[in-house]
Amino acid sequence: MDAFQVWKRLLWKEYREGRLVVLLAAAAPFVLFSLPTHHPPSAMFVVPGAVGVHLAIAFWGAGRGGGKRTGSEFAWTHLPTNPAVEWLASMVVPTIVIAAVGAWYGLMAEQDASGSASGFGYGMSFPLAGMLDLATTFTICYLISMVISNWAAYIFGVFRLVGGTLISVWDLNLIDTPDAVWTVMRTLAAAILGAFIYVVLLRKRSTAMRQGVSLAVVVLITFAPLIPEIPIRQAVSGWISGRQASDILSSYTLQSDDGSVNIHATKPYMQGKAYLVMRDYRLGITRKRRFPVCWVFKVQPDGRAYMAHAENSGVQIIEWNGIKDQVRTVVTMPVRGRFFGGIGWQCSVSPDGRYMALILKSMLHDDAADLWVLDLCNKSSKLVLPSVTTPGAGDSDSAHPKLAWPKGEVAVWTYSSGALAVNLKTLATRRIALDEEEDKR
Amino acid sequence: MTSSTQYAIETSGLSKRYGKHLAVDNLSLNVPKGSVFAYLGRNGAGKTTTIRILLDLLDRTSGEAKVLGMDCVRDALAIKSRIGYVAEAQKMYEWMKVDEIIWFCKGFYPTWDDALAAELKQKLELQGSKKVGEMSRGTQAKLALLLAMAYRPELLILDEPTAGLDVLVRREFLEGVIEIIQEEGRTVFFSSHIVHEVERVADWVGIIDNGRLIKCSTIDDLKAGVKRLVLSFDDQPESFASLPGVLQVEKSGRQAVITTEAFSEETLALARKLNPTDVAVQEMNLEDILVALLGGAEVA
Repeated sequence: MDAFQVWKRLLWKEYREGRLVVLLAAAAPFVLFSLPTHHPPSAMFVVPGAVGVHLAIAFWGAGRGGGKRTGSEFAWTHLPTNPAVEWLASMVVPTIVIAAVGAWYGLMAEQDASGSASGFGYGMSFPLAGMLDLATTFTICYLISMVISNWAAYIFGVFRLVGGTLISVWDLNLIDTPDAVWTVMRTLAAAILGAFIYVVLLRKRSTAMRQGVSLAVVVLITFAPLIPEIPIRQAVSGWISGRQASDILSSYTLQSDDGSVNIHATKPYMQGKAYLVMRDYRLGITRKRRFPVCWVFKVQPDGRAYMAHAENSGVQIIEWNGIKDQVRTVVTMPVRGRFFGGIGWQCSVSPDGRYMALILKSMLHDDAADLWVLDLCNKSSKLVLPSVTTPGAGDSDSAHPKLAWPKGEVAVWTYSSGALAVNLKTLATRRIALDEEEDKR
Repeated sequence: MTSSTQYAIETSGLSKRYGKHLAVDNLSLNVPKGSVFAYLGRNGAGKTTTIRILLDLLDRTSGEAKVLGMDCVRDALAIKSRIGYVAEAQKMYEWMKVDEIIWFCKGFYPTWDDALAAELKQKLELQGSKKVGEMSRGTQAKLALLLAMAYRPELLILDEPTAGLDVLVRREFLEGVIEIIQEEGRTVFFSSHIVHEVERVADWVGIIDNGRLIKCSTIDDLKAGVKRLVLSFDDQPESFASLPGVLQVEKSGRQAVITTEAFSEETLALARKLNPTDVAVQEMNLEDILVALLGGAEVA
């Protein structure tokens, strides 16, 4: 048997079966990005294009596994070819081609966007996202159609799109995070391995055994490394209540006051880690780091970011110097995580970088707020003004307390309490006279 | 035991178990080279399971199986390149045209004979530009036969190739098979439920029931051994236990029809000892023999 002739024919078959979908998917970026007006490109073309290409690839994969499931695939039953060769030709090679189409789509999107005012500027993230997304979609749909049924694979293809998995993969900042890339690649590898088990290793075994083993291997490879990180309560309530696309991924961006440093934080669904990407536009530095689930609340122009991480003992305030890539725990505040956020949420760092003033939700009244002072050098925190704002006294969400740093003091002004100053060494509080207040303004 | 080169297929103690169900039970089967071997039995008797084990499409639970002298698992690829296989309702790539699928299959067989393929295409009246999915089941079966024959396999395995085809198409297909077999003189292992049609083609027969091989011989030997004795009596005896190999006894008035699988002059002499007024011996066709051997149950 001439291996070249065999490969030539197997690849010819794959080409004939998939050429329409692959050519359409590869041509889509040309059509989408050559249209004369599009602004912003991400909103008008990238997302619909990604959805269309994704669905085409998902449905193609979903329609391919039937013969292999029933064991009636002509090449297996009749032709003298190794099942592993057929598996390579019908699954691995198309996956590589589809990954290339995904990368091509991402590259076109990135190039198109970088020429516009709102360019993404994410380098290779877009092509990587496209590559991983399409390849994973194809392999999983193919595997499901092979192991369960074509219809299950069609439904999965739509679910994967609607359910928001695609969103998380295409999120540029998620793909910036090595762990997320690893997770997606593990899923991809699991699907390919699952198919190998089904069609090569166990092909002569009973269907039930093949289904059980290949699905178990896929699930184990994909999810086992995540098990220690999955918050069980969140997972259970998510499954019971039906998770929304927005739950899959939470992400936000925070900037320093002068706009020179920004931090993008991402927390994928059911993962106990948050991924932070810092960009210092002045120095041209990009830094990525993984943290325990935390909330970034302050970014300083010198590249330091402050985040709160809730623990049983209180809220840990963590400082990440993104430029030096140094992390230290500043202090553990004796408050519950729920007091972060909500009414009166304010934060300010003294000009010398030594102190931080935090106005947090009050522990006594739901609608009030407390003033805390943190000594960033000596690692201490103190609640200095409980209920510095009170409801019904003019304070509201639109009238936040104001913080200032007169010499040796932190000053706070609210409708309800007026102007107060706290001595940073003694933590003694004094009321600021109106004329003094005017001077300060 | 005879030399293995005499047999195209040899199995020894071959078994296949699905949970508690024994689909093939200790099967020892020898298919002589150059024979047209009909493998018969009810639906679910284990015919297709045997064939799938021989083709390495299914694991055996125990026993040995050799095809063309090679182990059916270890040498599976070598075996497949030397045998032709046509399955019941064979699934081929429906989008391919006849010429395309011929070209596709050609690459897998070093012995592919283009001239033979062209000849078979003409003989079986296949149109090269027609898509497989657009062809009738009968034409698809003919195409499957072409694809299984064009590389001159030493052994042709036909697993219910005419199942689901109407009478005319079935006859046409079988005539094609007969013609090719006569020309080539190769071994054919033929599983079918259309027994009277198999009878026209086969010279050997193996009958399997509940996974066990209950008969394996030439058709002539089988027919010589299984016969009906029609005995007329003034006073019928209560039992025919003295006769060897009785399969069926049908009593009707003064007449008893006894089917025996051990017919011989000695059997006839024993029958005469029962004092019948008349003794007649009836030849049986293969279908009747099969029904008798399988206990009178429906054969399908």
